[in-house]
Amino acid sequence: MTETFAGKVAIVQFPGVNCEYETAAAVEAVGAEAGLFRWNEDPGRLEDSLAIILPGGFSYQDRIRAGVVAAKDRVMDKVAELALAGRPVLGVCNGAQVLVESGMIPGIHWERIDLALAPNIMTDREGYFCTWVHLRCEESGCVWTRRFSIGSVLPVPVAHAEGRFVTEDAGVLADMRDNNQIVLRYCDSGGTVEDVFPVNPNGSVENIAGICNKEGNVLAMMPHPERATWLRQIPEDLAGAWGRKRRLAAGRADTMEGEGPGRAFFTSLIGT
Amino acid sequence: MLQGTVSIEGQADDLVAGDLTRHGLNLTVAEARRITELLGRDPTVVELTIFNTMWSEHCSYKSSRKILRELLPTDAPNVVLGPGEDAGIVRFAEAEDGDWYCFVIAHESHNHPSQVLPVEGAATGIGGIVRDVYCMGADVVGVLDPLRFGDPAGPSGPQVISIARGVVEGIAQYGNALGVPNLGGDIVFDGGYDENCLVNVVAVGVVKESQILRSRVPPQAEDTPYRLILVGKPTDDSGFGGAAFASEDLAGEEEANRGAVQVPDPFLKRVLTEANKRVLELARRRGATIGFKDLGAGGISCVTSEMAHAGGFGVRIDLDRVNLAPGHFPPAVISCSETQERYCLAVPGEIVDEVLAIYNDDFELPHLYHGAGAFVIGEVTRETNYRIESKGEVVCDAPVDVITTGISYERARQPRRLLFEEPELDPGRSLHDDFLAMLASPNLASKNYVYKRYDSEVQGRAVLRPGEADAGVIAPLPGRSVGLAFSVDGNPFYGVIDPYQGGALAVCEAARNVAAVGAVPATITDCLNYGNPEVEEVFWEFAEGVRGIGDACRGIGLITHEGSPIPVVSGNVSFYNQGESGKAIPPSPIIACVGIVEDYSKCRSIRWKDEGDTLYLIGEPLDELGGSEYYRTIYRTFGANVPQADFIRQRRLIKAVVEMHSLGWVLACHDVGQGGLLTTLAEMAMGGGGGELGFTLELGEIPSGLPPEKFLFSESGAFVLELPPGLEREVLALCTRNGVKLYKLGSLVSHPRLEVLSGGSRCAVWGLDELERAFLGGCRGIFGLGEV
Amino acid sequence: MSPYGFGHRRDGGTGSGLEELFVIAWIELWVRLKVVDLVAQTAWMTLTEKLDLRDDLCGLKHYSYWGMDADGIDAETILDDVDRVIRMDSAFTNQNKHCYRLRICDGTPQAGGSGLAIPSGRREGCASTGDLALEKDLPIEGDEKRLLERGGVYVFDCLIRERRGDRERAFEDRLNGRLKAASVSHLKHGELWRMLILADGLEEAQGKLERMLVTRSRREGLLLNPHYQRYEIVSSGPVASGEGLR
Repeated sequence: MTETFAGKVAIVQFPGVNCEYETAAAVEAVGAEAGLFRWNEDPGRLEDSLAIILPGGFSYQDRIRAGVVAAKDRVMDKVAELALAGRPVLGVCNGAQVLVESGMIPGIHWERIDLALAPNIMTDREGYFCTWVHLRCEESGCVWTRRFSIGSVLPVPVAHAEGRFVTEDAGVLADMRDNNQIVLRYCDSGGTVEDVFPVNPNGSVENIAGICNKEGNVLAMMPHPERATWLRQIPEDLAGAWGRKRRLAAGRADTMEGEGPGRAFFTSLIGT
Repeated sequence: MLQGTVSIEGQADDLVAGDLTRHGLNLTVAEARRITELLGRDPTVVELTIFNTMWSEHCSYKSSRKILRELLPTDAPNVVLGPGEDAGIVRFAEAEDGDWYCFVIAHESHNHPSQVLPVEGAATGIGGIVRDVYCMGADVVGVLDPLRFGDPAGPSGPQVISIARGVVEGIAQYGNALGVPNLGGDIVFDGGYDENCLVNVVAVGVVKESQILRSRVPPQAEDTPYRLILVGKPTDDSGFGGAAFASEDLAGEEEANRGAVQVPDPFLKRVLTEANKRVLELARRRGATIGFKDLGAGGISCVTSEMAHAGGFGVRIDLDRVNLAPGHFPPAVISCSETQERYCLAVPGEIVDEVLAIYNDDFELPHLYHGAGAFVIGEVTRETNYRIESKGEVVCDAPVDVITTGISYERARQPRRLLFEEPELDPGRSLHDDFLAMLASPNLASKNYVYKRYDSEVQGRAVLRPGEADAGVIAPLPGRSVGLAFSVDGNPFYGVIDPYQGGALAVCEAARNVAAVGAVPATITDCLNYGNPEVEEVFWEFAEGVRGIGDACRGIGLITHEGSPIPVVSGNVSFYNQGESGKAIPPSPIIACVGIVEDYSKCRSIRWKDEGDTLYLIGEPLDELGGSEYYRTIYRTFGANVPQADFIRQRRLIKAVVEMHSLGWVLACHDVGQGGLLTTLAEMAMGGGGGELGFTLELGEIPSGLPPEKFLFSESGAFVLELPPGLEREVLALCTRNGVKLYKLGSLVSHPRLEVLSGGSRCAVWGLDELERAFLGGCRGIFGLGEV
Repeated sequence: MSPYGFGHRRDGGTGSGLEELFVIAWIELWVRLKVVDLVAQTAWMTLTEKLDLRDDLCGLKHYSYWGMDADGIDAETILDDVDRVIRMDSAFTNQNKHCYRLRICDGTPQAGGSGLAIPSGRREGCASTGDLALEKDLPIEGDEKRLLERGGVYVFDCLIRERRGDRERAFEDRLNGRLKAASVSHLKHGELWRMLILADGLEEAQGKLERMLVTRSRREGLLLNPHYQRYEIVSSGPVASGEGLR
């Protein structure tokens, strides 16, 4: 246990998460180093990390409410402290739920819980839903999406039962809009944001798929960019430009092993 | 001094029977006497309980073993480990360092528990099968779930739907939380499963050959003291007697089986999986060889005796050291309880403390689950005795090979005589309406309400997902082009008419399905679900089914190794699938097939790709619609002419299709099976929804000699392929060389509709939107929010 | 004297011109796991260890709850009919893993109104069925010794519901689709937490309770997120020293 996280991306392994390895692979695909941080290790070890990722899965089996138990773990004190100092933090799926339940997102009022990720609302269905969606990149100062141009459309899979961003505080929604904190919205393959299932796969308010803090260094997103890091991961029948690209790569394994739409989230970690 | 012996020797039969019942044992009096003979003395309660589990149908294969040995091929050049341990292992790609990458596959049933407690029963099924793969040292890369439910529109409809929804929920809860993707499965509804659903589960893992763990005490125990560590959930009485329970008829009052249900916990399993990885790393680092096995049916006694037996050692277990849940449990319960989420490790003394620290301190098992943890519960002895102590007293002490002695029965069989008749076709029927009714019937309709509840993306390896093609495909090795394809099949309606064909056709269909994505069938596993084997007709069905599977495996054979059969590397037998009425389920052999594809980038979805491309049919629709969707949905009858598996033809078809894939010709390919050619075309057109291309089928140009309905709905194995235009000559040459029949069907058009003509006059036309409404919505009433 | 309210049948009777008398009663279903409740265990550990509330909380217990208006010819018929349905449908109960209490209590006649107050969860004298001894079902999660030693313990039954009523309506439809002799309305569904709070008075106890329930920050609250859930206290009161403990 002498491993140091200096210069590495620390992936926090709460008990029950299950996307830590593909998240590490996605980080490594862009040439950064990744390391797993077990939840009960000394949080001080995160001090020199390059960035922190809270991966997807079911921390504490979603008991009580997805993300809420992990949000109260000791390591989150350190994550919040480092985030305040500007450390890039990404929460994907269950990681996003942890960030919301810990008050780090939207982070307009320090440590106050201003949002929830509520159970999905879908047509004819309830519970867990796994599918590919399209995301539109909105104008924001988020460090994790700095490689995307505004309005670009990218397909990424979602897989969750509680992914509906919602708030009881209309002021919070307005503030998030004003602060350009709404980073990603669900849209169709042409980029149109339409609040209809399954374009919006969970009934999220304003089709919100990802929200950053005011400073832009912390991002909570329900879709899984690490599952869209290679071109081969895109379903062949997917509509839109990336689906076409995937179909054209059929029979060419080298092209298939090339970059997928989600990789740029991780590329944002390196270079300038 | 042995504690708690039961008097059997010299006792009258009725007294023995009374004692057995009093101890909750299912052993027969004859079996109890046999145990006394083996031991040379009266057994203890603990010993009887152990035998009760070990000699259950589930663990002993006492009715089936002889037939399985006789009829199923289990060896081939690619096999590393055949049936016998927890899972089968097959090589699939050579590693850079000369080692081999292997896949590990296990296939089980969890039928009875799922009927009683659908969510937990199905979840426990997934939990048990992944443990079988993990304990070979492999990473689990996917699960598949063949399911059979009753008739949702029948007299037990509400209960059937409640069970079906619960089972799907249980599979989703466990697999999603564990982070194992769902690679496929199938669902069949039939009134024959009203009282007894089938929940079969398949798990697949990947391991390097040099890192395979064995479920045995390693030979190093000869020189080094080895300890036995039990890790996981605290032992309780949940599932006590579960193995014995799985082999009994379902009693009408389901509450009677309360104690037999296990409580699954994917969270604890996930944490254990991570902790196990660290333990294996530690062992590798320290050069220590360990034995590793999961606890399943029979609990501690099964796992420790089998590990000892496989290594040629003895063990001594101290039940007082087992971590227990709150409550008071007698030694027999602690020895044999089926508490979930537990593993047993045989570990050399010098690393015991470090292993315990990984589980108990690093991963805080005792903190995450009250009473969980890792504890040393015994030691390996060179003297080959199996000894259990409790409260300072010996409650079991017998030679290990006596404990693990099998038992075998010769069951009588008798052909079932049923009369089947072909229906008279009614020329006045509307093809248009009939086909929509078929597509909307639960057996043909899209199962998207089910597979969208499963995480098929986790681990990031998916290439083709459930619903996209005939087989699920993953790219298991990062940066390498090799792919693995998976399919599960088993059409019970063929087996009802002819149980031999039921077995044979399940293998053909599974093999065709992996070939449809371009993969070469490399192995199969089987789960043989039947009624009560003591009923002669049922046992006949079973034996016929196995014969069909064996013949198909040998008849199709490995394409890569001329003369070798497709090996059956793992499997399971599930008997006593019947309800209160005593009526057995339809014969239900279920086959999982794994195929290997050199270049996953050539695996295509079934959806049509481009206007102007040419459609071909290879293979031949025959007048053999017995058991078909068409007969059953439209004529409400089974018919008589069940498809006849022609293994030579199947092998040729598979070879031809795989060859076309490897040449890079194939743009889309879909097997013709359930629902026949027209269903295949419609599914390709819809492509899961939003299809944009259309096609006109002119029957007059196809010299089949069959009436149109039979041509369109025959389920004789075949393939429809979409190839680029201009390849006619090459395709014909390839098919001629392979000795398969080829029909050119025509070209794709940009009009989103499907049309059938006969000699220029229209038989029927459908807009893709109306096909999609029928197909995509057909299971909404069962699995969607809307209630029936 | 019937303990139940009277009303007019709300469905089916249109156009018949007949106004039959039917009882309308409040009916409650409490369901608890027979096996270890891991959610309750995790809640207990999180509240007492991570949120450091050892001195305020001495126990908790966790149920699924359905409460609804039911009407039918008489109380017994309603109870039997609802019992039949909830025993058959594992979305409500499965006797292999749950114990439950279904009880029918007096309610106020309603004319399609909402916001019916749930009668006390500890009310005696309701007709009921099931194998859960609700009144004596005190937490085992907590610290019995402390509870016995010291007074000042208050018990709260708190129902946590989603703000949106979709699921409640789905349950209502599901029941009405299967009931033969009764129909239900105004269904409330959620998780019910029975909390034992140590305090010097009911008001203080309620304040402490609220801080355990409502998640306001990382350091405060656990059991509900106010942005999609809300709670109501079904019943509350002091626990006499040693009451109900084994």
